[in-house]
Amino acid sequence: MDNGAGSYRRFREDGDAEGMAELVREYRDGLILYLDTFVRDIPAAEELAEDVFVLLAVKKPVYKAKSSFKTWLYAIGRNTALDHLRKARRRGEIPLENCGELHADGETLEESFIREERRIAVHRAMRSLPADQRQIIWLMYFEKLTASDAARIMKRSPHAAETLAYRARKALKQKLTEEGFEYEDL
Amino acid sequence: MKTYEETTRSILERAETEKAQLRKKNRVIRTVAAFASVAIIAAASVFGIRAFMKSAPHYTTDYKAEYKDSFKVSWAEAPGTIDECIERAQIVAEIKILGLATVYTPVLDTSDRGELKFLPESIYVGEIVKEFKNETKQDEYVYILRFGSPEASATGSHVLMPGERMVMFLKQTDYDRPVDEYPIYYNSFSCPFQELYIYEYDGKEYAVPYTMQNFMPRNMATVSADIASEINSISGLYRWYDDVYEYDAVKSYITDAVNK
Repeated sequence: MDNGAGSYRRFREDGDAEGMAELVREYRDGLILYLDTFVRDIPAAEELAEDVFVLLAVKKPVYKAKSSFKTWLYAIGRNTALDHLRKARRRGEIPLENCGELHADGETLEESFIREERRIAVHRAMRSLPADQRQIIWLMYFEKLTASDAARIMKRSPHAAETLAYRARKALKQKLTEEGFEYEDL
Repeated sequence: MKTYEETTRSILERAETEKAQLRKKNRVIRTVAAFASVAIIAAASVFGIRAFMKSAPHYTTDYKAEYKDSFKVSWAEAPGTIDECIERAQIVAEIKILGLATVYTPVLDTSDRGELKFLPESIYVGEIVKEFKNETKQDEYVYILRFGSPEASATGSHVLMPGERMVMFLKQTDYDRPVDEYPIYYNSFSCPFQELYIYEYDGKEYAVPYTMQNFMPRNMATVSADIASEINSISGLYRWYDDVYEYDAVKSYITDAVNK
C-alpha cells in the first residue's frame, strides 16, 4: 500500500539506486505542489523537493513506520521548507508570500498531477489563502490524507487540524464563489 | 521542470558530493572532538545527569520495574555507541556537544481525559549542549539538550524529523519535588524539563514548549471543558517557564538558537 517504504528500504539498506528512482517517480510531483504551498514558487519548490530526496540519500534517516511513508516524507519536506524560509528571511530576500502567480511549470504540474479541471480551479484559488490553510487543503483534499496524518505533518493536534481544515474550506468556498464557481465537494 | 530521470540523477550526484564533503569535515571534527568528548562525558557523569534522570519522581517505581530495560533499548537502538552518536551529532549540528543525556518525556494524552502517561517510546537521547549553574540557588543546574538528528532523537510519540530543531531544558532541582503535590495537568507542565520547538507562526519564529502547544489560545476552543478549567490554573507553567528564563545566559542562548 505504501510502496515508498519498500523502495526507500532498498535504497537505504542495499544502495539500490532504482529505489530512489521509484521514490522520485511516486512522490516528487505531489511533494513539489505541497512545498509550493509554503513558498508559492514552483521552481523553488522543485529545488526544495530535490533537497528532501538528497537528505534521504545522504543522511539516510530511519523510517520507523509510525505513520505512512508519505506522511513521514512530507513532514521532512515541511521542515526543509521552513528552514528555507528562515534562511531567505535572514538574507533579507523579498517574502515569497508576495509571489502569487503560478509559474508555467506549475501549470504543467497541475495538469499532470491534479488532472481534473475543476480541482485545478480549486488549486489555483487556494493560492490566495494563508499558508497554513493552503497546506491543510493540499494535504487533506488533494493528497487525501486523514486529519490525523495532516496534523502529524503540520505538527498540530488532530483537533487543531480539523478546525484549520474547516476554516480553510470555508475561505476557499468563499473565494470560489466570488470567482463564479460552485464546488460542492469542499 | 526536470524529468524524473534527471531529478534522480541529480539527487544521486549531489548525495555523493555531500557525502564526500561530510567525510572530509568529519575527519577534522573527530580529531578535535576526541579528547574533549571523553572529558566532557566524564564531567557530565560527575554532575549525575543520568542518576537524577533515573530518580525523577515522575518515574514511578512500578514504571521503572516495568520498563527498566527500555532505557538500554533506546540507547542501543538510537545512536549506536556514544562515540558514534557524538560523531554523527556533530556532523549534523556542527555544535560542541558536551555529552549525552536520557530524558523521560511524559506523554499528555489530550484525546480523552488528558491522562498523563510515561511510555517507553517517550525516552529520548539528546545531546547536552549547554550547562548553566544557577548562581543564586545551590546545586541547581539547567541543562539544555539539543535534538537535531533522527539518530540522536531516539524514538518518541513526536519523532523529530531531519531539519527540525528542538531544545530541551532540564532543571535539576524540580526532581526533588514530590509528584503528588501537583494536579495531573499541572504536573505535566511542571516536569523538570521542557522541550522547546522552534517554529514559525504568522511570519515570526517562536520557541514554544512542546507541552504548551495543545493549549495555546488558538486551540482553546478544541479542548474539553474540564481540561479548559485546568488550563485556567496553569499560570504556574508560565512562572516556571519564566523561572528558567531568569538565567540571562539561558535567555541569550535561546535567543541565539532562535535567530541562528
